[in-house]
Amino acid sequence: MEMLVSAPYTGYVYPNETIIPWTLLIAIYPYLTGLVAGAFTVSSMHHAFGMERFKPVARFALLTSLSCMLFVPLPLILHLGHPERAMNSMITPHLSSAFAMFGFFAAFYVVLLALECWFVFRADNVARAKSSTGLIRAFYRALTLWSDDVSVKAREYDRKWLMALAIIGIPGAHGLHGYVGFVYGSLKSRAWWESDLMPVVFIFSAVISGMALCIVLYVIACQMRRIKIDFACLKGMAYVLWGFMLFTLLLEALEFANIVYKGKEGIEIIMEYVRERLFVRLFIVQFGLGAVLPIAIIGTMIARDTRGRHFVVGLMISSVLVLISVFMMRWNVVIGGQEISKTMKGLLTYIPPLLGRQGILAGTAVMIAPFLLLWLLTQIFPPWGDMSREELK
Amino acid sequence: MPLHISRLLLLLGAFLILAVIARNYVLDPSYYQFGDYRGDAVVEIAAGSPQYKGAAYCQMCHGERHTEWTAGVHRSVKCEVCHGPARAHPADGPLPKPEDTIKLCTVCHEAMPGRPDAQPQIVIAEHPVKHDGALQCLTCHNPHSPKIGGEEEPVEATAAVTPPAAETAAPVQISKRMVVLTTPCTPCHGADGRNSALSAALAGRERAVLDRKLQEYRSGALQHPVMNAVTKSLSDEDIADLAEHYASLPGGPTQ
Amino acid sequence: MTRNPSKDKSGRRAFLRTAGKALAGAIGGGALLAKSAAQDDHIAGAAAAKSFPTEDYDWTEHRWAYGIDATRCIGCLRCVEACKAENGVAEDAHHFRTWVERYVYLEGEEKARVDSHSDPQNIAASGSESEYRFDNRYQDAKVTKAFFVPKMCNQCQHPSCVQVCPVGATFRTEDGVVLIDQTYCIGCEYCVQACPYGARYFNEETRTSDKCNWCYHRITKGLLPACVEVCPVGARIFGDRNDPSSPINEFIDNNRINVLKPETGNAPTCFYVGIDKEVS
Repeated sequence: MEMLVSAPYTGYVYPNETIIPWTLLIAIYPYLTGLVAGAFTVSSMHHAFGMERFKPVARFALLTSLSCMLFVPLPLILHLGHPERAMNSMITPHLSSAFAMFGFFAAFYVVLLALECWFVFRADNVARAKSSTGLIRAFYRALTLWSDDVSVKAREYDRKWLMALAIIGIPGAHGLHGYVGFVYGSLKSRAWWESDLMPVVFIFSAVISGMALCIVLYVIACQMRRIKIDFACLKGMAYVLWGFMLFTLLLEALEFANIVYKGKEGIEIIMEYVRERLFVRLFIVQFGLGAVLPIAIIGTMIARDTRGRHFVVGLMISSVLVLISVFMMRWNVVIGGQEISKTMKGLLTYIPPLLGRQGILAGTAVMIAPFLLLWLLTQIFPPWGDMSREELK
Repeated sequence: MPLHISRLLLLLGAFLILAVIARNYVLDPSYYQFGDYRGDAVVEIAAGSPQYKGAAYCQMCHGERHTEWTAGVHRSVKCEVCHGPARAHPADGPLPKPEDTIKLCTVCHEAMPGRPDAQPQIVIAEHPVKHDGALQCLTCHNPHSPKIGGEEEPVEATAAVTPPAAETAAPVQISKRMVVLTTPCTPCHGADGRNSALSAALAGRERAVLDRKLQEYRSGALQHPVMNAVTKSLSDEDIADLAEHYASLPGGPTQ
Repeated sequence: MTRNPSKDKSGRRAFLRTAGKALAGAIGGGALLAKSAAQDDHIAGAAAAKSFPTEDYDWTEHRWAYGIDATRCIGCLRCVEACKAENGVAEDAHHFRTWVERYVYLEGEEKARVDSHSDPQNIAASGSESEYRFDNRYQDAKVTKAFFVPKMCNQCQHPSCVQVCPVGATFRTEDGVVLIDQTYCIGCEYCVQACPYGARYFNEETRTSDKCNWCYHRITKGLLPACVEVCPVGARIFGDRNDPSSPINEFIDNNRINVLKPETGNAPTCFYVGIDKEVS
């Protein structure tokens, strides 16, 4: 049983607002779906758009997307008052609600990702089935649906399915994540959330977070497996990341600028909040360290044609900063919106508890779990075949 | 079509069909009855049992009290406001009688900015005289019909007063100082000193007795929460003058 | 022409597969049809009954509305306590179906000072979180204007909360009350976020959303909501707009009426008299 902690506040807030409804877990949830969408985009650059440059990272990115996707429902289940009734939203979806779409988007996307992984790894699985014995053989045989057809015709079907899935998956991913942005952006009860730009901001920051994650994981994986990093692939990801980051920063800045410029009723409390409580979280971490700095680093490296170790280090630092910044963005939106009272006369302070279903420990576990699963998946379905087999120089 | 594709399609198809069948199996039959919600929910919510029963319910057993209450200014304050919801009463025992009336009554009657002027309000520590906060409202007020002096205009410390029962008594002329001094006395004793519904009649009693009584209340030799409070700040001269005043009023209690 | 045996085999297999899928589809479709037929029966049954939810109550005959006269409210908070006692609301300072706000303008200040029951000073004045009272912090201040405003769920005609519920656990009845199905709500709290008035809260006991429902269990029996029942000064008015003699119609017809946050487009059915621009 969690202890009920009411949020301290200043000014005037509605009495019911002193218990903050959407917690740390609800800030983590869009972060996870963002990683899913971003990693899928990286993978689709090869599988859908046929860019050979991204082949080394494509299968790995796909597994990353799947691992994160399988854990996406977890923060929501932990938050719900009645997780055992969660299926109600699929049994009787209330179609006027954006949330009602979650069940279908998520289910559809899990199936799509699983299918795409299935196709991508099918040939490998058939080979593994042939070369294993006993239980493992049975496992791989079942996984391949007891078919060992790797003829040219079969592979042609595979390729077509893969392309179709990858193409459908892009709007699918952006729908899965964009609806979250819509949930916030369409809510007229909170001035901090209500914005037409919100779904777009969410989608773009999702893409950069997924890309940054793929960069970080790719570099780490190469180090762990002592594989030479494919520089063209890495640089390609850096270019795409950089481009998306510029646009994301523009969108986020535009959203904030709109609020300030319009100066509607309640602007005083918003500005008080931004100036005092949000200053470090928003300007220094999210915008400064998390957007301007990585853009500057990567931009400089591109301009000076930096290569080798320097490039990798610079890119890694930038990617980690982006990952932190995107989480900060989710926090600033979800928690920030609730810290500004609906009365527009008061501010609350959310302090996440350490223990409990919605505490810091639970949140950390939810964040770590996908990567443990990813490690497991890379053991069962090694994606390394595409990567260069040369030893680290 | 290659084998694995057709098997995959079969698998997906089977899953979809199973999902639809399961959905229809678990769907509550009353859902969609009136709209996009479970129809039975309305019945369930409406079937709750009321906890507050209303004054008519109380009247069934407490007829006299109810009559007294409807005749008084508190007729807009329902029984359960002070006694709490009836719930299963009388089956589960009597309802609480409020003990701490200072806490309860002042929730409505404490003078507070924001309260409309039509609401009778008091400054707690000064009503009816300055006291230390321990003077319970029940000392003077009947909670079921709280206005003192009955339901006609409140008896005020005015220079001229017509006693309720006597039509021929001459108006009493008193000095400004006496008006001030007798202010705390009037609510209970009446401006004419004859009201004995709440307290002793003073009019026409022996001056020396009144003087002694006031001294004893002031010193605490006689204990009465109101009298101790009102006499605390009286000087000897004040006591003498008050005794003189009431002794001189045309006498006898009205009841 | 020689027949290819393996092709024959795959042809038979393909036929069996297709037939199997078709059969499964037919079973599934049949189940669906059967279920929806049962639902149709249910709907027909209710319509035939023409009385809901009890034998003496037909919700199509009533159109409930609520009036609040903020010029009369004395901030005694008997309504807050009565509501909690009637509806089993958590007895703390953070969950309310109805509450009262105090607005005080001090001399020289343009903005009102607002406080309510979560305020620590008010909690101290009442003695505990389960009793409610306004403290008298302004008794010695130079107050230019002050008043009390009761608040509760506005039972909107276009409720944001109903729109956003993913499962249909909250809905508006034919007689104009927004209810919550406590056995169906999943506790996602989207509705709590969507309400512009802060009327909804998370009920820790039922682990679902909760809010004022105008004491639906009372009004369907001809009683008044508990808060209206106990208000000693007539600041709360409740009635049926379809009943010409109802006090609510007199209230609406004889006063200049306001609603809270009209810009939301929610069209509340709680009508206010005596609030000013600071009240949101």
